[in-house]
Amino acid sequence: MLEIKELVKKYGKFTAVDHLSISVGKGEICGFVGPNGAGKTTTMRIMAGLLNATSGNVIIDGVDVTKNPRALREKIGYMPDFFGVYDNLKVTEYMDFYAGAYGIPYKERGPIMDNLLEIVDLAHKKDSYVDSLSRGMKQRLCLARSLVHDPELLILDEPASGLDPRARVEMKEVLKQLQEMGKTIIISSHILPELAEMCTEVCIINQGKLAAQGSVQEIMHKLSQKRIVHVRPLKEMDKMLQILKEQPLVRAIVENTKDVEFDFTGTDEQLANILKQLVVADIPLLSFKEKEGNLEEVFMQVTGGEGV
Amino acid sequence: MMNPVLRREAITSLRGWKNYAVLTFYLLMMTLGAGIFFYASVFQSYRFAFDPQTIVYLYVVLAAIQMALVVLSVPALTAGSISGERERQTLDLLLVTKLSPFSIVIGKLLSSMAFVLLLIISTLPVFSIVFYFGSVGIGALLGMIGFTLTTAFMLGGISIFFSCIYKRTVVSIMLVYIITGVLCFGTLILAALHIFVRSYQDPSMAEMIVMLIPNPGVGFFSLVDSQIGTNITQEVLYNGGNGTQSSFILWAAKNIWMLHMAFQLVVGSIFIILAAGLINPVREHKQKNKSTQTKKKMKKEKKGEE
Ligand SMILES: Nc1ncnc2c1ncn2[C@@H]1O[C@H](COP(=O)(O)OP(=O)(O)OP(=O)(O)O)[C@@H](O)[C@H]1O
Ligand SMILES: [Mg+2]
Repeated sequence: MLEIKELVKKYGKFTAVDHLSISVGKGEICGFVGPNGAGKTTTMRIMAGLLNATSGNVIIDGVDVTKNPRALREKIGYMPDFFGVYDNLKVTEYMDFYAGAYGIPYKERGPIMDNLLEIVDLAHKKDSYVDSLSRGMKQRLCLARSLVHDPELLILDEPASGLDPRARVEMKEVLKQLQEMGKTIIISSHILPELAEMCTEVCIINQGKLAAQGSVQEIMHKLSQKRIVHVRPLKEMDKMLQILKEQPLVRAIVENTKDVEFDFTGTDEQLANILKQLVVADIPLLSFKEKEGNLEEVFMQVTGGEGV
Repeated sequence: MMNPVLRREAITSLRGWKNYAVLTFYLLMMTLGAGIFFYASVFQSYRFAFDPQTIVYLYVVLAAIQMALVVLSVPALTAGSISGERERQTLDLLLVTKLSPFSIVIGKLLSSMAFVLLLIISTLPVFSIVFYFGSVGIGALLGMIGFTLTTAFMLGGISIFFSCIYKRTVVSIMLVYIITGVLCFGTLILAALHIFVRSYQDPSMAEMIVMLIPNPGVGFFSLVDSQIGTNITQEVLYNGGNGTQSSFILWAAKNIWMLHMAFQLVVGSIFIILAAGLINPVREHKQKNKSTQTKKKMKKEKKGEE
C-alpha cells in the first residue's frame, strides 16, 4: 500500500528526513513515533503531496507521490497536526465544502456527511458553528473531513494531541472503527505507549532516521535487554530475597519496605519458572508482574533520551 | 458544479459584517454624491429646474465615485484571501483536496468579483435617475459595468498574487494601491517626458496611445468621454500627434478604454496564473529554493563589488 524509499528532505543544510525507508501493508495501522523534531510532520506532508522531497520516493498503490502528487489526492485522507476552521460556517456546511472540493456531487453528500458525523459522534452538533466547537470536537470533525472522499490511506498527524484522556479514548475508538472498515492508517505521536495497543506496526524515527520498525512486541524484544519485574509478598521477605539472589538471570534487586523490584534478562518461560520457585517455597505472593512503562523506556533508549 | 471556494465564501460573507459595512459605505457615498450634485447644480440655479444636459454630469459623478470605491475596496477585500487561509491554517486542508491551485485562486477571485457585481446592482437605483432623464442610454451603462468588472478582475488578480506572498494583508493592499498609483501617474509622467524629449519631432499618436493604455485613469476618462460624446481624449491625442493617421489609430484614440479593458484582462490573468503557481505546494518549493539561491548569489556579487 505505502512504500517510502530512501526519502530525504533537507531544509537548507539541515536534514529533517534522512534516507528513511518504510513500508506499510494494506489494512495496517502504522504508528509513527518520534520525539519533537524527529521529522514526522515533514514525512507526512511529503506523503500528502504538500511538500517536495529532496530525494527518494513515496509510492502509494504503485504511484509515486513525489512525481505525481495530484493523482493521489483521492486515495489519501490527511489530517495535519495544526489546522483551523472557518468563521461563520456550520458543521454541515463545513463538510459540504470539503465534499465539494473533492468533487462529490451534491446528491451524494447528504448520506456521506450523516454517516461520517455519526462515526465521529458529532451528529448532534450538525447545526453548530464550527468555530464554536471544543478542541476535541474540532479534531474529530477534521478527521471526518479527511474521510469525505472515502480514502484508502489515512495520514493522521498527532490526531490526539491536545486532547484530554477521555477524548483520547474516544479518538482511539474512532480509529479502531476505521481500521475495521479496512482503511490503512498512518498515525503519528510522540508518545509510544499511546499508540502501542492499537497499532499493528510501529516505526520509531529519530532525527530523520528510522530507529526501529516492527510490531510493538518485536520492538520491545529487540530493544529491551532487561525487563523490570515487581514482586510483592505478604510476608517472608527475606526468604524470597534469598531465592531471587540465587537466580542467575535476576539482577539489580531493589528492596523496598513492602516489595521488591528486579531486572530480568531471560525469556517468558524463565520468568514463569522463577514465579514457580517462589510458590513452591511457600512464599505468599500478593503480586508478581512485569512493570509497565518499559515501553517508554524503550522509546527513550531508542531516541537517545531526547524528548517524549 | 459551482466552485466550492466561491460557494463557501458566499455563505460566510453573507453572515459576516465586513461586506455589509463596505456595502453600506458604498451606498452612502453614492447617495451623498448624487445629493451634493443635485444641491450644487440644480437647486443652486435660480430657475430651480432640471437641465437634462446637466444630468449627464450626474452620470459622470456617479460613475467616478463607483470607480473610486471599487478601486479602493477590491484590494481591501481580496488581499487577505490566501494569506487569511494560511493564517487560519486552512490552506493545507484545501491544497490536499482535488481542487487545483488554479481553481482555488479563481474561486477567491470570483467571490470578490461577485461582491463587486452586488455593489453595482445595489447602486442601479441611483443610476436610474440618470436614465429617467434619458441623458445616457443602457448601452453606456453596460459599458460602465463591463469596465468596472474588468477593473475588479485586474485588481483582484494582483491582490491575490500579493496575498500568496505576504502574510500581512495590509502590505498586499498597500502594494496594490501603489501599483494602481504608478499606472495612473507613472504612465502620465512617462507620456509627458516622451512629449518633452520628442518635442522637435512631434511624437506619433500611436506611441502616445501605447503609453496610455495601461492607465486606468485615462481608460475611465475615455470611457465616460466617449459615452457622453465629448471626445476630449481623441482631440488631445490628435493634437499631440502629427501627420495623417490610419483609421485604426483614430479608432484606438477614441476607444482607449476598450484597449485598457483588454490590458486589464491580460494583466489580471497573468497574476492569477502566477498566484496559482505560488500556492502549488509541490512546485512552490522548487521556486522558493531557486529564488533564495539567486538572491544569495546577488548578495554575494554585491558584496564582491564593494
Ligand atoms: N519549513 C521549515 N524550514 C526549516 N526547518 C524546518 C521546517 N519545517 C520543519 N523543519 C525542521 O525539520 C525538523 C523536523 O520537523 P518536523 O516538524 O517534521 O518534526 P516532528 O517529528 O513533526 O516534530 P513534532 O513532534 O514536534 O511535531 C525540525 O528540526 C524542524 O525544525
Ligand atoms: Mg509534528
